[in-house]
Order: sequence, then C-alpha cells, then structure tokens
Amino acid sequence: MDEKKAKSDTPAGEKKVKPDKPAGVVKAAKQEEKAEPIYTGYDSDCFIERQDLLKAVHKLDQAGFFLEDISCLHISEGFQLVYHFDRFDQPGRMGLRVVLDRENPEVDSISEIYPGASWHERECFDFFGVRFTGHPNLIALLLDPEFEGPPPLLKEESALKDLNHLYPDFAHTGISPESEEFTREVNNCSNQKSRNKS
Amino acid sequence: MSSMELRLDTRGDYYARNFQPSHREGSLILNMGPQHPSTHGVLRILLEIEGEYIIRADPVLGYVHRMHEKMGEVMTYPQYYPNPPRTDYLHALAWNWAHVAAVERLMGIEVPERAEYIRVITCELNRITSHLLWWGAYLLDLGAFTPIMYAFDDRERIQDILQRPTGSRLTYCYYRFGGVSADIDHRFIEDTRNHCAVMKERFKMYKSLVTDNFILRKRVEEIGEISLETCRKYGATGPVLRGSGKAYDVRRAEPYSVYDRLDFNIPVYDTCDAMGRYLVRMDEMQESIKIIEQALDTLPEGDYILPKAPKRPKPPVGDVYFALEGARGKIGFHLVSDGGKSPYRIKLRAPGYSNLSLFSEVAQGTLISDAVSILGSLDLVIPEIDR
Amino acid sequence: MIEAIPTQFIIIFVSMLAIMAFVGLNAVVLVYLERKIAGFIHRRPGPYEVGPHGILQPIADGLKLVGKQIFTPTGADSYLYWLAPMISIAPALVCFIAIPFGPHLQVINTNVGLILILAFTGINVLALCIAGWTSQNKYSLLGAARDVSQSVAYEIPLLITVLSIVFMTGTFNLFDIAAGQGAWPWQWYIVYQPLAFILFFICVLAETNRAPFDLPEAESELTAGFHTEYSGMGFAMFFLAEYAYMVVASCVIAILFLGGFQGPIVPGVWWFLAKVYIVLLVMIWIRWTFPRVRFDQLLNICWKWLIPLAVLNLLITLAVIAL
Repeated sequence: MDEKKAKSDTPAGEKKVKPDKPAGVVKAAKQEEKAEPIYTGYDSDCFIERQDLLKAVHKLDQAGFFLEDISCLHISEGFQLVYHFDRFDQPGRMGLRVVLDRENPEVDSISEIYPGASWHERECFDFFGVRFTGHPNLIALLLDPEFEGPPPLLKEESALKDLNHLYPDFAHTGISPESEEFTREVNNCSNQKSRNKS
Repeated sequence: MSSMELRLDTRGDYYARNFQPSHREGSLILNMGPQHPSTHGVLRILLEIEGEYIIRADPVLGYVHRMHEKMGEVMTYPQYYPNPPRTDYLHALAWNWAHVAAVERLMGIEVPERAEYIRVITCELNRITSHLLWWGAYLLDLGAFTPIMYAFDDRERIQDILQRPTGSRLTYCYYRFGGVSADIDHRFIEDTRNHCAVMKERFKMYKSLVTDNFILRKRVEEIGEISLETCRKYGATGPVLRGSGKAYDVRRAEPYSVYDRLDFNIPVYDTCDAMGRYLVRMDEMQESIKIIEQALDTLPEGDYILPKAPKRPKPPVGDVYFALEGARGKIGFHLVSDGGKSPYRIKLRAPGYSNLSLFSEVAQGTLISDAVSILGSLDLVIPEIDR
Repeated sequence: MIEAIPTQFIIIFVSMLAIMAFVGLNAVVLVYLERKIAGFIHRRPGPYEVGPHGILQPIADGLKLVGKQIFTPTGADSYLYWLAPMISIAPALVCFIAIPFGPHLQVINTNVGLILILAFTGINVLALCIAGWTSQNKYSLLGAARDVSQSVAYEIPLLITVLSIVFMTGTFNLFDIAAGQGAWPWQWYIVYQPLAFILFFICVLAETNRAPFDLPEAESELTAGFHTEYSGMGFAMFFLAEYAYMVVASCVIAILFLGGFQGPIVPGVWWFLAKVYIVLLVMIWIRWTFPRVRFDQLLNICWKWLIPLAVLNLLITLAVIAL
C-alpha cells in the first residue's frame, strides 16, 4: 500500500521534465526502480471489501465526490469493479476497488446514494453479468435485452490474469471504510501537488 | 379482421413492457425515437405523458452500440487508433487524444513540445466545430431553421483547415503515440489565424441574430433547471455542470498537455437552465479561439513526433486513468495493461452518458417541447453514449 | 339545352375550375418561392438543378408526390382517413369565390363575403382533427389536439379585429371594403387601424399554422404532427391546402388593410396580386427567421395579449365612430 501511495502521489507534471527514454527501455527501467513515479491518474487508490462498499461510498458522498464511472474487469479471481470518483472543489481521483468472486458476482448497488450509478451498474450487468443487489431496474442497457449467450466482455479462461499479475505492487486486502487510513485517503485525495509543480 | 388484431397488440417491445406496468390511469405512453428528428440519431425515450406534460421519462440506449471496449481488447494498440474518434464523431480529436495520452502515460513517453501545441490547436479547433454543430442543431430543435446553415458555413471552413494536417474531415485520427502523424505548415497557421479573426466577428452576429432573440430566450430561460447537487449525483460534467455554476474544467482541474501555460477563462453561469448551458458553449468557443491564438503565438520549433516513438507499443503492467475535457464534458479512458500487445481492458467514460442519465429526473413535469429543449441543451452524441 | 342549366351554375362551375387552376398555380409558385427564399436566407442557392435556376423544381416535386405509394396505416379508418385531406382543401377553394381580385373580377359579389370566408376557413380544423384522430398515431393525435386548441383560441381575436374594420365600413361585402379605400397607401385602412393589422397578421400566422406558430406540425417535437402518416397525394393535399389558406389569408389582409385592387396606373388585378404576394413573402420571411414558440406560450399570447388588445382596439374604433 505504501508503495502504491508513493506512486499515486506522484505529480503528473514531473513526467514532462523526465528526459526522453527510448521506448524499448521504458519497461525495463520500470522494473528496475519500481519506486520511480509513473502517472496512473489515481490520486488515491484502495481495495475495499465487498460488504463495506456502501459505507465507503457514503463517506465519499459526504466528502463531495462525484462518480465518474464504474469499470469492471474480468480476472481469474472473478471480477474487479473499479469505482472512479472525483471532486469538483478539490480535484483528485479516488479509485475504489472491489473484488467479487467468480461463483457469485454480486455486490450492493450504490444507485441509492448516486442515482447516476444506475446506468453504470446496468452496463456492468450487461457486459459482465455482475449483479447489483438493490438496483431498481437491472435490465440490459446497451445490449439487446433478449440477447442470449455469455456476457460479451468475459474473457477466455486462458486469457485471464490474476490480481498479482496486474497489480504486482499493491496490497490486495481491503481496508475498512471506518479506518483512519481510509479517512486519510479520502481527505488527502487531491492532485493539487502535481498542479502546483506544473 | 387482421388489422383489428394488430391494433390491439399494444404490448410493445421489452422496454415498453418494462416501462408500462406502473403507468397512471389516463396517461399515454409515447415512444420518442429511435427515429425522431430531435433525438439526434437513434436515442429512444419512453415517455408517459398526460396531455403534453411528461410524468415519466426513460431513455433507452443501445441502438448504435458497437462495443468499442471489446474491440480494444482484441486489437493491438495501434490498430485501435481509429476507434475512439468514432465514438464521438463531433469531437473526434479529444477521444483520439484520450487514447493516445493514456498509453503515453502508462509507458512514460515524453511528447515533444511542438506536438503538444499542435494537439492543443487542433483539439480546440475541433471543439469549436462541435459546439457550432450543437448550436445549429439545438436551434433546429427549437424550430429555427436558419442558424444551422450559418453554423455549417463556419464549420466547413474549420474542417478545410483541419483537413490539411489530418487528412480527414470528421472522424479525425491524427494523434499518434509520441506526437502527431503530420506537421502543420505555414498555410495551416495562416488559415487558422484568418479564420479566428473571422469567427470573432461571427460571434457578434450570432449574438445579435440568435442569442438575443425574444422567442429563443423564452424557450430556453428557466427551462430544464439542473441543480449543482443533481450534477454531482449523476456525474454530469462539461457545459452542463458549468451552466449550473461550477467552474470545473479538466483542462484546469487536472492539467494535461500545455493547457497550464495558456491563459483562458472557464465560462460559468449559475442560472442552471438551458440558457446557462447555451451561453457556456457560446463563450467556450470564444475561449477556444483565444487558446488557439496563444498557442499559435508560442508554437515552438522541433519534432512533431518523438523520433523513437514505439510503432508497436507494449506498455508495462498496470492501469491508468486519463481524463480530458471534451466538448461534452469529461472524457475518461481507463486502460488496464497486462504487458501484452493489446490492452487487457479498455473502459471509455463518455460524458454524454452521465449527462443523459439525469434527463429522466429533469424532464419530469415538463412539456414535450421543453423536453426537446432540455435534450438539445445536454448536447448528446448518441454513438458516444452507446459506444 | 343551354337554357336548361341556370347561368349562375355555369358561372360558378367555370369559376371553380379557374380557382382550382389558380390555387394549383399559386402552390407551384409558392413552393418555388419558399425554397428560393429559404435558400437566400440560408445563404445557399436553393433549388438549382431542375430547369434554369431550378424553376421546374415544383413540378418535379409534384410528380414525385403523385408517384408515391398511397398507403393507409394499420388500424386506421380508411374512409375518414382519406376524407380528411379533401375536407381540408375543399373549403379553401370555396373561399376564393367571394374574393374580388379586381374591379371586374369576382365570382360572386355577396354582402356576406367576409363571413363566408371566416366560416369556411374554420372547417379546416375539422379536417386536421379527423386526420390526426384516424391516423392511429400518437404524434398525429397530439398534433390534432394542438391544432384544435390553437385554432379555437386564435379565431377569437381574429374575429374581433375583423369586426373593427366592419364597424368602420359598415359592410361585410369584400368588394365594398376594397372599393372604400383609395389608390394610395395613406388612404388604406392600415393607416387607420395599424394595431388591427398587426393583430390580424399574427392571428393569420397562427390560423394557417405557419412558423413561429406551426405547432400542430412541429417537426422537432411531433415528427410531422397531424400529417405524419400521410404519403403521396394525401400529404400533397394538406400541403396544397396550407398554401391555399395562406393565399386566402393574404387576400383578406390585402382587401381589409391594403386597399385590395386599388392602385394607380396599372389595372387593379395586378395591384391585388402584388399586394397578396408581398404579404406572402413576409410570411415566408418570418418562417425562416424565428424559432418556434412553446404551446403554452402560444396560448398565453392569445388569451393574455391578443384578445384584450383586440377588444381595446374595437372599443376605440367604436368610440371614434360614435364621436
């Protein structure tokens, strides 16, 4: 988590002053010095447990965040939902990651708190078959409602990657929305530093 | 008798059946779209109306769904170049930029300064064309036929200018990983400068001819009021948000490229109505002109593309979220890479998607004519929403 | 043999044929004018391909409409459905018999001419109502509903403004009204009744469903309103009727306010046609310039502004006459 945090606090502007690197070297360079900042677009990023989602989102709502989108990812553990939040007054992107297991891809709907999430959730339902409990109208949004067959964005078994592969330097255990850490993440979520530098 | 049987078949399709059950006694279910002059393409809205008043509205999407996200997963990075611009054909360069920049950020590619300036100039030109078309089409929705012709006049000239470096007129695919595909020449610069001067005069004419028109003002003022809180709850961005009194612009909030070096204002109106959104866009075009002129003044010499830019990039493992300000709001590009030749997952955040989702709340209790006015003021591009 | 048929009948028969030709010709000219003027206002050439400067375009349009498949929507009452366009056009033709085109060119010089025209134009509402109702289309129905409330509302100020002219002249006879005015503009009733002219003109725009009051066929809201489902000649009849009513309305305006066939030097007919076409041009010009009003605004304009103003105008007229 600390490593990730170091990553996320990195200023976007710093990238510009970095000397040009030949493309082929980029990856190798990254592997050598993992701490070196690379832009991710996340100013704050954390995994939370599935049952804590509503609490966490509620906290974000009170902190004045708005929902950008919900991005779903098919991984070998099951699914990863990434809720992207941002703020008008103190811009900074917060990523909430929830991992759902394969057999029962189900999570609480946040459309009560953010009515705008309703469509994003329907989209995830459409493309991945993830179910959102408590959603008022969970029907197909972009696909044909009478479409039969597996959801189109599911990957083949052989193509699936796991969390350790995709996020190697990341603590995949969820933090509690009540914890100090989470509150700190929420309050400090800002891209102010990078903006000041640039 | 068969005609009689057909007449009784009023169950409708899946969505209509889903929409119908809770309808009120004596109300009428009206299908607006997918072929309707003012739903701009193939948006379909199910309306429950009483007289001309809307009780409920429910947009139905997916009529131009092309699954760009899936295409992103099966194509390599360069193969995906032409796809994002085809989602929002009106502000194609912004989407092109979102794709390119997301990959650049993930790989840490440094874009030459000149290329950044060229991107700013072309993207802002494209923003003006987008707003011009919106302006014309919106007034067409309100029953004024003439402005769209004037808008196209100016738009065509900008397209002529953009055609020189980009080679296309609508779905531009001009940016490459590490720069742009072709340099701009002195004629492009000259034409752009001339047209900027012309446009400034045209804006004055637009104001006196159209914006100040009494009937128009009656049709847009105090119509479709969207509070700031509604915007936040639905994630509305762009002119919709700025028309509700919040100066939030990704170009300032999360500066990318060289926008932090350019001097421009964020137009804000706190009337929250369609007029606020209208005026934001009208002012934004003038700000874009300002940006273009500044960028042309300070255009540095140098490479237009990084000489060692990867032709077939293989970004490192990780994910990146890149946001930029499109004509309709915040465009987001979530890219997850597993280190392979093609992305593991691409998620496109379409600003119109969030902006449209608040329609059903705002449209309640308005007249059909107002609903048309509200829809127009949201500036929808359906292919972008359906992706 | 000839004696067996009354002369009056022959006159009416021949003149009806002439009127139909006149209406048809007018529609052709107006279609061309409308498109050319729209082009001029849009800064584009307009029709340009068919004939020199696109002059044969209306004929091409007409041929296309004649050639289109006639079809009746599923579940529509086909008898009423096809009756509607005919009900729409027929009264428009009848209206022309009372109009004095020149000092010696009028079918029937009747002393209820004005009432005849007002009565017959009112029938059009019925036609649009039937068309909207029988089309089995919700948009058509909404268009028809809009048309009924719009026409009923605007008929009132229209009649009241007409009354102020009638009180001034003391007659419903259109020939007498025209003849009562002089050859020069300062002798026309528009000088005596400027407010009445403006009110009447606004009402006429609304009655003929012209922009900015074209709500029954507001295409951005109701696709095409009451004629959404009509194809081919069914649509063409409505189209023709719309132009016919425009011409009738312009004729009435020319007679009531612009001195009718009165004018110096050239024969009266030419003056009359010139005045009618000037009014028509203004109507076309307005259509391509203004956005459409909203439906409740339209009715507000009528009930809150036009009717009180028309009544006021009538009272002032009466007061002046009484003095």
